[in-house]
Amino acid sequence: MRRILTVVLLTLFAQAATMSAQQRAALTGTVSDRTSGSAVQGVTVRIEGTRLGAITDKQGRFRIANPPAGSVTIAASCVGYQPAQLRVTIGADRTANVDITITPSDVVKSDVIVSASKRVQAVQDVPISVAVMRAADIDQRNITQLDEALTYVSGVTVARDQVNIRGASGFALGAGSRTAVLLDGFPMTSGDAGDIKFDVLPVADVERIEIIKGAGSALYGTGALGGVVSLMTKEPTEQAELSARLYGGVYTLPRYEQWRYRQTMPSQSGADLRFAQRFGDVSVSMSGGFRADESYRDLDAGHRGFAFAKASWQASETSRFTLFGLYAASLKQNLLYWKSLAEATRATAEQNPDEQLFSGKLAIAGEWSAILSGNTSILVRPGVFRTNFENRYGDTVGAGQPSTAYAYNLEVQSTSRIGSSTVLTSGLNTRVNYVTADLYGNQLQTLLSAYSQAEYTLDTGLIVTGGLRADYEQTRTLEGQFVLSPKLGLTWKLADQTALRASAGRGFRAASVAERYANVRYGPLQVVKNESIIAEYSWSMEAGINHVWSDGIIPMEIDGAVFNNELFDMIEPTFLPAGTIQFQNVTRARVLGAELTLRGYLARGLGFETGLTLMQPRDLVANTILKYRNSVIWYSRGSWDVIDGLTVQAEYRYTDRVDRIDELNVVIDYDARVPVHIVDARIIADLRTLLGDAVPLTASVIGRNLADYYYTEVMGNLGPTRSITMQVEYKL
Amino acid sequence: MKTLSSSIIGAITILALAACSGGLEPYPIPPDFTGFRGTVYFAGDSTAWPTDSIYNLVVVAFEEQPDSVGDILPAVLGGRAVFSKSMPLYVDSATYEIELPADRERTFRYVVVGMQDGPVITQDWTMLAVLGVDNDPARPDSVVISPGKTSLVNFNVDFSNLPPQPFD
Repeated sequence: MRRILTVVLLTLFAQAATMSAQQRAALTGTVSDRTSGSAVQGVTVRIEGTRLGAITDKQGRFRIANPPAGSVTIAASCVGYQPAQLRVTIGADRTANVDITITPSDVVKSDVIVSASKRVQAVQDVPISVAVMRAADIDQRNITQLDEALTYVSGVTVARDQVNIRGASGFALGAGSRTAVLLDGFPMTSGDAGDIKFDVLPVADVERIEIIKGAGSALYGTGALGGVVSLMTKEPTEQAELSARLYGGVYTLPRYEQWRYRQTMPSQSGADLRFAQRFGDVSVSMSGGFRADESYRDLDAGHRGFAFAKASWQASETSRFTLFGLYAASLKQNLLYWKSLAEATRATAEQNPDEQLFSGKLAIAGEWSAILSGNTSILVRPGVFRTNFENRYGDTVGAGQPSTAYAYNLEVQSTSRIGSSTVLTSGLNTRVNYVTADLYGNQLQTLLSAYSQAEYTLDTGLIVTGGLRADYEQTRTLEGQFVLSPKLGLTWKLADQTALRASAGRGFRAASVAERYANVRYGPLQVVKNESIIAEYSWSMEAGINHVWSDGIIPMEIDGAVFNNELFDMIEPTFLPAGTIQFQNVTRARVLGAELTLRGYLARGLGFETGLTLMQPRDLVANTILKYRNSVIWYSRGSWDVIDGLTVQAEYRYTDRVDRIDELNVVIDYDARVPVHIVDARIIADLRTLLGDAVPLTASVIGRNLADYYYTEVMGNLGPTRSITMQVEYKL
Repeated sequence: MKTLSSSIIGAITILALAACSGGLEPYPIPPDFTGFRGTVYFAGDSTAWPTDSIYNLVVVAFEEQPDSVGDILPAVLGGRAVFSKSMPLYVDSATYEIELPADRERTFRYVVVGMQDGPVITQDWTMLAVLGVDNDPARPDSVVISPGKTSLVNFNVDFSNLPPQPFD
């Protein structure tokens, strides 16, 4: 598999004057792992267009004798790493020295993540299923909002900002999230609805996304009931990075005439701009952009703008300060439900065509990290996330139901290495949600937490992880609730390339302000408050195996897991007669399942990935299948480097038909639902490789839902139809 | 190798496309319906219903709340009230609709589920459920029906807890 190449550090020294006779006329250098900095053995280093090449030794060194003089392209490739390319000028004496760093890729046994234990560790040392998506994956897919990225992760589905990991979440009217989402460790759920605001997350600045599948409340507290999505932003380098992305495209007209709400194809467009650089001890990065979408449905158009800035100061060798801020604003028509399946792209007659929903999001967060001694580090992370929204009618601002919420968060964490085999991570966390809203009243919700987790590594290769978190929640109308979230994990390296894992942990989620206090009409539905909701919780258990075949005919990584999520006091929107909805603790549920993920290279330049998740979601109270859950999620992806610089990718996503939903007959044809088959494909041309350094552009043609398959995302809402987009990205 | 590569990519795509039936399909657009539609839910099972004396069960929408039971029939005959077809009895729920001519906007200030519980159509009526503000049957809510507009109104009937009767 071939990806956009990443070369982080290039040092070229002309050393002809000091070369010994034995070293003359040679291209030499080293290859190291970008993440760990360690030398990488077994990397094939080639001079493109020639038969010259070498393989790195244990120290990561290579030597290619008698290279041609002039500008050449050097390619480095190794199973488990993204192939890298760089141009080098070899002097007339035909000697040069090059240091290359390469980045771990999907088939990798030593990838590292930071979210599972709030510290850097190898994937195979983590006792729970994780998935990682990198910046290149985001760029190539023309991800315009980061929830789209999660749809390419096995076992995960997303509908209208609701992230569902392994069946933990269903239909929630946009309130509450059973997945915790963090940006550089800072929680990004709103203070009122407790939902995820994906449109504020800085697409261009995200370096990687880590998805933890399973309860993570022992470290992350409320919201991490079904899993954790952690986004890490890029770190600037000394070399200035300037990138710009422009895209534009259309939704093709539906094949059914009666679904064409207009006779021309609706457009979508956007642009991103990013600059980053490190200046000595200070580094800065800034990005921003806009999106405009006419939508494939009537009364669903919107546009938004966003900006992100981050600055870091390395105050000393052991102390570092970081501050980031982000802002996003959007104005969108407020389509709630279709008119009917017969007119699935049109709104009901009750929909006010002048109504728009304005929302603004502002987050400011800081981080101070310091190494207190050789074995202990500390981190302090304060921040606030302000969200506000209101309905607007035509040019009238502030006409309807405004809500403003502040989510204050403060976390102090320490990580200590005790002896050579134990790592202790502990912390204190407080979160205060302050809400002023017509819909919810003025509310205050406070969460105080303390957590600690220890990891002990035995000589046998067994890693034992144990942790406990205590959370205390209080609101103005609710007596304090105390929640304990323990966790136990085991990881055992059977062999260098095989690891077994097992974990059990408790997750919980405190009800959001919206779920407790909302008193609002939502289209045809009247939501009424329920102040007595208590926190929902889960027990998540998993056993899994990870194995890498790095030296077989088909280098491959396989990851299998069986899991069981026991869910208690689930907070679900409950449909009462007469079109009334109230959030209630209603369901005791169990989601049993198995997941298999396979990724590898069939041949050089031809990679694949497939993930199958089978689940049996049961409502144990009603003794039937759990509402709004799939039983099968299947994701497959292929990528083929047709020639150097030209890549074709295809993806297929399948979810089976949701078996059971509410009888919501205030929405016409609410019951229309089918299995989902989505085919995406893209052609990516790296014009720098194809045409030379003078053209530092990547051009892509991206097709989404190419089969133009029609399905519902949620009740009474047609999913996105086929779209074709052109994207051009400039990177300096 | 390129042949193999393209074959695999192609196979994935073809398999995926072959698996697709095209998904949802629209049915012919029905003529615009003007009026009320909804469901009446009955609490409890059939034993919760009165065992006799049910002569008729309908949803009625009045332009103005009648002052006395004697005003009901004149309002219907005068076109100031509209009503559904008779609904089935001893069921958990029943759907209804009241279609109106799409010629003008009309406001209905009293929308109820009415049960005729005696032989005298001008006198023997009990209101089983009332569309109320914030679901409060003591505060009747208004519904405006514009041409082409359908108002979805559901009711919840609990025979053991009937709303305040307007003519008591």
